[in-house]
Amino acid sequence: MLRMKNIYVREVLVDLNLTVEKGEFLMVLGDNGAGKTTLFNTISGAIQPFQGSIFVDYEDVTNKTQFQRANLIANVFQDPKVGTISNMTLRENMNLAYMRGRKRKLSTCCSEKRDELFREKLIELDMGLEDRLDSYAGELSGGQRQALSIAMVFLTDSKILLLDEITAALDRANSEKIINIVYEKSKQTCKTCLMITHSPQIIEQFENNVAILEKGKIRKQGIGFATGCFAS
Amino acid sequence: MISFQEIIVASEIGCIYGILALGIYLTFRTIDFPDLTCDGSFVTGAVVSAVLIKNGANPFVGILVATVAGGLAGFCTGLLNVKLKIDALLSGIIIAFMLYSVNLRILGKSPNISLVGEQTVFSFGNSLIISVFFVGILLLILTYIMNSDFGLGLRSIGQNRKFAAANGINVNAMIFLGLILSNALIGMCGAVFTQYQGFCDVSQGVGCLVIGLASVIIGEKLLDKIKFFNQLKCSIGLRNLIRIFSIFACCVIGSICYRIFISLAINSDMLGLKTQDMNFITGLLIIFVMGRRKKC
Repeated sequence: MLRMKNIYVREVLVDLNLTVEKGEFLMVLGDNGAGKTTLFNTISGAIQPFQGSIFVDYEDVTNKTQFQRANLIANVFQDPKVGTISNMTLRENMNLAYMRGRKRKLSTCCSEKRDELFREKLIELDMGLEDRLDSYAGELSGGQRQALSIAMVFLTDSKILLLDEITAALDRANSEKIINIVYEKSKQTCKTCLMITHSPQIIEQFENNVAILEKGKIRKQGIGFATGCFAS
Repeated sequence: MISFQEIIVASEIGCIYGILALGIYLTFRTIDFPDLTCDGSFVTGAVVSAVLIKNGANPFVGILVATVAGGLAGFCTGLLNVKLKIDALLSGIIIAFMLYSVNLRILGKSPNISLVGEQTVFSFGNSLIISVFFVGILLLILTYIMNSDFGLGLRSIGQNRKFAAANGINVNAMIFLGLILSNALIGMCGAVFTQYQGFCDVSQGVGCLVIGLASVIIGEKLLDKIKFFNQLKCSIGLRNLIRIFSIFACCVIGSICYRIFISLAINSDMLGLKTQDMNFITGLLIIFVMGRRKKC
């Protein structure tokens, strides 16, 4: 569960209150400049709020830095080039994500045991990536890279998943596939998900549970009114 | 023409300066931090070890203390950049500038020290074997570190800091550690080189950065040609180790190539070049290699 109380961030978020229950899949809507990305950065810890508090499952994380929150919160970025490292192999990328929230020690990072886990996670994507652990992430297509970053997010059991327009860089077939994978896996693992999107199809396809951000505040939150909102 | 003996000497110096190249690689490539501290930390390492040896210390202790002193210089640069938010380039320049005074203080009365007649690490045997031994051990240690979870985290901040931060890597701590590790190596290089030439001068660090960079660039050029590790039929762990080892080994080989190239150029009667032309040749070499890189 995620709870934000009276959050102020510069002029962008003004007295923002938001509660997202465990296992909820919430779409965050809003015009450009409404503060969606700032909201995500505040949750992940990249930006510290001036005022207010943030709780993850009743734990106050307001004063924790981004890396201290990494065991609780995972991100998928809009640009797959940001969510993966081009000059590293798939194995190295997944190793980095596997250690999220754990202590990085001086023991070797490559092992058959981890490889097996990585393959298992990649098989679930059904993109043939499981045989390409030695390939560089830069050699993959945009859709494959985004799928890889999603597999990486599900390697650790973080409580909250932040999805920032994850299909913006993909074609329609790929974006449907990616969204389906994320939705199913987040339901399976009972993660709290927040997703920024501008696509009416996606909202209608999944639950229709939305929060509308306007001028730094949550104007409306609930199920089923998004269609009308787009029409207006 | 260049003699066999001169090639051996160039290889020895190349091996020793290979330690510097490893340090430069760690900042400029691994953590993507343009660190200019090295012109100062190289001399700090040199003077610390020279003064210790002059005062009767064991030459190995001299190298060890010089390494720590170099690491301390890197820590100061990290402090300026991470804590005081001073620009990366400027932090290095300021620390290198300040180290000049520190180095003169360590030296005491005169701005240089001669180690003639003193026992150095090179008193124990053949210089080439000793330099290869030093750089070899460092290569193995670095390969081990970079193949670990910690090393992977360190490498990731040079590639994509946003990704690193989102994956729970403490970027600031990694910048600190990268700078400490790099400057410790550079300080160690200064100490070993001073013991090799039996002489230490407060201004001997000028141009270190360019020499180190030239070595790294030549090494990378070589690495492009020898991407053999993906075809290797061995366990994944070993293949990864070989891949990382070859990246660092290429820095050292780049350094040796650079030295041999310089001595070829200076010793060639046809070109009529002299020792004082060294900086000009180095600059030309870097321009030639980098200029070619951009084309492809």
